[in-house]
This record gives sequence, C-alpha cells and structure tokens, in this order.
Amino acid sequence: MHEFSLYSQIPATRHGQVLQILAGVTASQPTATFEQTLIYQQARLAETGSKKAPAGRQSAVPASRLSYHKLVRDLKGAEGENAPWTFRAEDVPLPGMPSFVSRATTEHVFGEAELEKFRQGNGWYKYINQYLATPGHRFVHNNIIIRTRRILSVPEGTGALEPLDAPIPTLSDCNLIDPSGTYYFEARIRVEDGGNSKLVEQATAELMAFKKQVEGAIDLRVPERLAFDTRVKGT
Amino acid sequence: MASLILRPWTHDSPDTSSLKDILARAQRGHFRDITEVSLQEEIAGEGTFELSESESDDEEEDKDEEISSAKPSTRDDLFKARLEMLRHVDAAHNDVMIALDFVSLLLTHDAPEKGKASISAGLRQEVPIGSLGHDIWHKMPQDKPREAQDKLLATNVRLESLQQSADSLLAAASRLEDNVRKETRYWDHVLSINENGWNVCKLPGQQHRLGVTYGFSDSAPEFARRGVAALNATSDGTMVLERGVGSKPRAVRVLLKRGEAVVGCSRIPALRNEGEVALEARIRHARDSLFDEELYHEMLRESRGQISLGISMKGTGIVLKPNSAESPHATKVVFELVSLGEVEDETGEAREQDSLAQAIALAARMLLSQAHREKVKKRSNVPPSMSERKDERTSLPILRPIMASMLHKAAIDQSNSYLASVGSLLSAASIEHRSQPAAFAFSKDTEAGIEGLVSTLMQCWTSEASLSLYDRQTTIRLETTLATSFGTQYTLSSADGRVTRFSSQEELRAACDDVLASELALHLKLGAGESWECNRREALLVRPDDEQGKGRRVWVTLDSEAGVLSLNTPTKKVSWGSPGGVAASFSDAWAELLD
Repeated sequence: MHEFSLYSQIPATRHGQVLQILAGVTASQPTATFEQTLIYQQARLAETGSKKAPAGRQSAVPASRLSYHKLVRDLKGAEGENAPWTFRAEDVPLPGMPSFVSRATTEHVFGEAELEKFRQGNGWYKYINQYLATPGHRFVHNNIIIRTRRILSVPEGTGALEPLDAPIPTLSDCNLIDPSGTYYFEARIRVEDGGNSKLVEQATAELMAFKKQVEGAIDLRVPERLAFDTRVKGT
Repeated sequence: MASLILRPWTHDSPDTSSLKDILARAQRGHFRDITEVSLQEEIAGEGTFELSESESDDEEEDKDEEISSAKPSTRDDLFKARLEMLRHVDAAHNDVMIALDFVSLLLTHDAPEKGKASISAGLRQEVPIGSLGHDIWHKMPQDKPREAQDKLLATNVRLESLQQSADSLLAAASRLEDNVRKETRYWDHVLSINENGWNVCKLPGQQHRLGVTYGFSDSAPEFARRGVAALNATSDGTMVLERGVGSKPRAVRVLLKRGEAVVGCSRIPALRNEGEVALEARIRHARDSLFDEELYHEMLRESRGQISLGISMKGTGIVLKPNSAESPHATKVVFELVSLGEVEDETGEAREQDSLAQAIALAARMLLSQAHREKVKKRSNVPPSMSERKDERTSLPILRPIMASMLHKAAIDQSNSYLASVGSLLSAASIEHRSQPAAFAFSKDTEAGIEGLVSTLMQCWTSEASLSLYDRQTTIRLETTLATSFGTQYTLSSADGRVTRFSSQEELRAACDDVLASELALHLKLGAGESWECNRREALLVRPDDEQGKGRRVWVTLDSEAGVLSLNTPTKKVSWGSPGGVAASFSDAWAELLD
C-alpha cells in the first residue's frame, strides 16, 4: 500500500497542550502506545520466483537492492508482552512531492513461521538495532493516523540475546535519543492501491486539510526525502 | 437615531459632517470627558484669554513704530528703504487703479462714453459694460422695536437648538442604559445555562452568536447536525432558542398490549420540571426529543432488516411479537413516537405491567447509548487503508436484545407452566417428585456500571428447569440468542444421559411426556420383580406368559396437553387428573392391576 505522511516536532512543554488540541479535533481520547521496533538488514534478497508477479502488486521491496526492514509490536495493546510482531518495509519516498512524503510500504502481521527468518543464524536477516517509543499516543481522525511519541535507544548489549524473545529492556536504562525531551509527531494516511488516482487525490486532500486545520498549533513539515532512505549502502 | 431633516439649498455646501467630526473639531477630547463643569471652566478661562490677547497686540504695535523710525545708516539700508518705498508706492498705485476701474464701471451704466474711456482693458474683457449700477438709499431710521424683536428671535432660535441637542443627548444616554441592561440580562441567561451543565459554544458559521449544544456527537450525521441551537436575544432581553427548537418535544413510548387492551405503558418525561426556567425546559426537551427521535429512527432501520424475527410495523408503531404462534392473547410490545403535549392522559392510571414497559423503554435507550460508545471505540482504532469499498451503516442492535429477552421470558414461563401442570398430575397420583422451575440466570462477575448492565442484556440467555422423579432427574435447558436462530432452543436431557434438541415448545412437551412416562414405567419395573420386562421407549411393562397362560401388558401414558396421567392395560385404564379422576395413588393402582 501507499502512505502519505507529514511530520513535526513538539517541545516537551507543549506536549500536554497538543494532546488537548488533538483530542478536540478528533473528538476522541488518545490511545496510549508503547512500541518496540527492531531494525533488520536484509542479508539476501527474497527469492522472488514470482517473475509473473504483476507490476501493480504491492511488494514494497524492489528486488534489486537490499534494504532495512522493521519488526514492530505494541506492548500496550491487548496482549501486552505477547503482542504479535508486525513486519514493516518502507520504500524510498517518491521524489518531486514538496507538500508531503509519499512512499510505498508493506505491513503484515507475521506469525511464527515467518519470524523464523529473522532469528539469528538464518541467513536472511541480520539484526542491527532496536528502539523503543514511549510514552506514545495515537489519535485517529477519519482516515488519518496521528502519533506522538518519544524515542528511546536501548542500552548496549541488548542485541546479544535473540531480540525477538528477549525481555523488554528496562525503561530506566534506556536513554532518550533527543535529550531535550521533544516529541516526534507524525500524521499518516494510507491508501490501498497507489495507482488509483481518485483515491490518491482524496487521501492527499484529506491530509492537506488536516494540516490546514492544525496550522498554528502544530506545524507539519516535509523532512528531507533521503533521510527516509532504507536501502543498504555499499551493496 | 437620525431624524429626517430637509434643509433649504444654500450657496455653500451644507455642513453635513457627522457628530464625530464636529466633536473632533471642537477639540475637547472624548465626549465622555465633557461635563457641564468643564465647559463652564473653559468659558471662564477664555474670557481672560481674549482680554490678554488684545493687550499684547497693542504692545507689539508700539514696538514696531519705534523700530521703523530709526534712520537708515548704511548703503544697504538705503537700498532696502528705497525698495520698500517703491513697494508701498506700487501698492498704492494698484489700489488707485482698482478704484478707478470700479468707478468707471459704475459710470458706464449711466454715461457709457466717459466710462469706456477710463476703464482698463483687463476689466473690460472680464466684465460686460453697464453691469454695475447704483442707487442712493436714504439712511433708514433706527427701528428699535424691530431690532429688539430680531435679537429675541435670535436668542430663541439659539435656545431651541441647544435644547434639541440636549434632548438628543438624553435620548442617547437612555438608549445606552437600555442596551447595557439588555446585555446584562443576556449574559446572565447565558451564564445560568452554562452553570446548569449545558454546553454553550460559538456557532460555526455565524459570528457574534452563541449556541447551545445538546446533541450527541456519535449519532448518525443527520441527528448530530441538529444538536446545536442558536441563542437569540429578543427585543426585551429574554432569550429564546432559534426557530422553535424544543417547542414540540417527542418521546418514545412503549405499550404492552394483549389483544387490543393496553396492559402496560411506559412513563413519558414531564413537560416542565420543578424550578426550571422555560428556556432550560426547552433545551432539555430538545435534547430528549432528539435522543428519542434517533432511537425511533434506528429501531425503524433495524426493523426493516429483521422482519423475519417477527418485528413488524403497524401504522407508525413498531410491533414486537415474541410468540408469533400464539395470538391474539400473547403480549405484544409496541414502540411509538408520541408528542409530549398530546398524550398526557394515558399515563393516569397504573396498569399491571407498567414497570415492564418502563424497563423496556429504559433498555432501548441504554442500548442506544451503548451503540454510541461502540462507535467512539471503533473510531479510535487504526483504520484500514483507504480503498474503494464503501461501508454501509449496519443497523444498531436495539430491538434484537429486547426481543431475545422477551422470547426467553416467554419460554421460561411456558416451561414453568408445563412443569407445574405435570407436577399437579403427579401429585394427584401421589407420586413423589421435586421440580425446579427455570429462572433468568445472571453471572456474578459482571462489571459494575452501565457497560456491565448492557453486556448482560446482550448476552445469550440460558436457563434450566428440572424435574426429579424418584431421584432421577430430567433436565430441560433453554437457550435464547438471536444470533444463530430465531426462538429458543430447548435441550432435554433425561436421566440416562440421552440428550435431544428441539426448537418448539410442543415438541419439547411431547418428548418430555414420553420421558417421564418411561421413568414411571422403569420405577414400576424396579419394584415389581424379575418377571416383568420394561420397554423403556414405550413405557410398556410386559410380563410374558406364565404357567397359567396369563400375560400382562401395562403401559403408562402421560399427556400434559389434556392433563391426564394414566396406567393402562388392554382391558382396564386408571387415570388421574382428568375430571373423572381416581383418588387412589399410583402404587395402589399398580398393585391392583397386578392381581
């Protein structure tokens, strides 16, 4: 599927105010989230015997370059510690889009069988790093998913154990990536099929309307496109 | 404020500058600061100012003369003096020529040749000759009374205009006071509404107008839009809601009818509560009316999709018939939307099932609130990615849980009446038995609060009834849920472990009768000895032919429809329960038949 997103930064002192504003705009209460994200590097390309796969299919991995993929799970959800892992692959954002970030992504919930590929020892993926996102809040406004969170890096040595099964690193050991305590803000809208121009127009119009609505309170911007590059360098 | 003033045309442009400009010109600052006292002071001050001005003028003139009498000492001074003299001479010459022109023009009227000779060329071009004439007037005698009258007129006119300005100022002041009073009243009203818990907000399209929200944000869009009403101030300062909102309130009323007679009616909210201002009563009516209208609308939508469940419409009322088989004496539930003003009379008398009707009405409203809550929760979940699919609005489950409870209650009542009739039959035959009627079962661990209550209402209902004959228990289990099928599912478990399912009450009765009859037969066999054989399925006891060649066949029948329990042989029949029943007990009759 295709995603369009906008980003912003909220200083720690304004966080409470921004949550209130968003609660008013969306007419609902925030959902607290605590996400753990593992970053893996592809060691070898998936054998796409599907040469017949039509071009319109959502396969976010262009089978030419190795890229970084993520496994995400939400620890505050219904299952708590045993929440299932979601696989997420993001493409490089499309160039020439000054008003929002547009990229193709894939997201699936993986079961045990697929998770085997990510374990140490299998030649498919190599574990790179992980980070935690807490405290986090999520709002949903029509089709737009709005998230604010602070990102924490895990202490050294967490990658020694198998990260899929290891216990969650204790929060007191983790440090904020941004010591000033700024919150990272993202507004995202997803479209099933990036080729359907009517849907794409609808989605981008909705995203822009949201940006206009919170203008002044939250300034949504487009960061540099290549900062989202997920391709592995040097291959 | 402005009165229509018609002024005569004047040569100059009329002075139509506004009050503001006049005041600005008056240069006295903001009109709020102008008071009588300050004006008086100014007048007093000006008088002294004028006098001092004239004095200073005299002094300056004396000084000038002194300076000009000093003789010119240097050559420059000489030239300067000469220039000045020439200037003066020029000016004098100019004045004289102008005077000459004037006189010549005058002359051209009477003696044209002489005048034309002396008039200058410039003036002749500008003005035609003979256009200035002269008359000699004698000096008029001084008309003292006329002058006095003129003076009086002038004073009066001045006085009148001052009076007029004073009047208009007074009118402005009183109007200002009026406005202030109206504003205070308006804000008092708004504050009182706010303090009573209503939400006062800014109206989205219109500036300078406040409104009250009383709607529910999670209703269907057409109802959510109607949930705001503007607050308007009328001319005398009272507040009204816009366009008659809340003036014709409506409410949903539940009627329980048996046949055509009304046996239960739910309560309708009062038209005016104690201690409530008319405005708040209107807002409350508007909110209740909106909620009930939405409730009716959703029930209507649901009923259209659920006709198979026995929900139908009659006129404007939605009719629920729990047992479509038994009519017309079964109780039906009718939901209708009535206007509060019209139906005050029906609620006068208390009827037998009023509390049930009221409970049904309350349950319907609670289910609607629960549906709103579910909507909010659904909205907060991560939405799927956008695609071309359009979701249809599913109908909210309001009638279905109510129908399920009513069906279950009806089933329980029927089972209990069946058990009671069988019990009475068995007692008539002096057979020892124990029965346990069915009842609504609530699990103990529901969460407190309204969500717990509603989840209890929406669960699948199960109940059990049992009858023990000689310590062997037969159980009937009732399950009602409208998710899978319509109506109650009955499960009959007999004491030997046979389990059968039925979906109608009649089948259950017949099967249960058979089971009980076979229980009785089994009991007889156990007491009778080895020579008898029992065919359990047909409740038949057979004693095969013995040496005397007398075979015996006895069977037990139990018929709860007719209300008869009987012990039969091919030749004799002993029965209990029917009008011609026997007083002997079951065991006695058996013993009799044995011989």
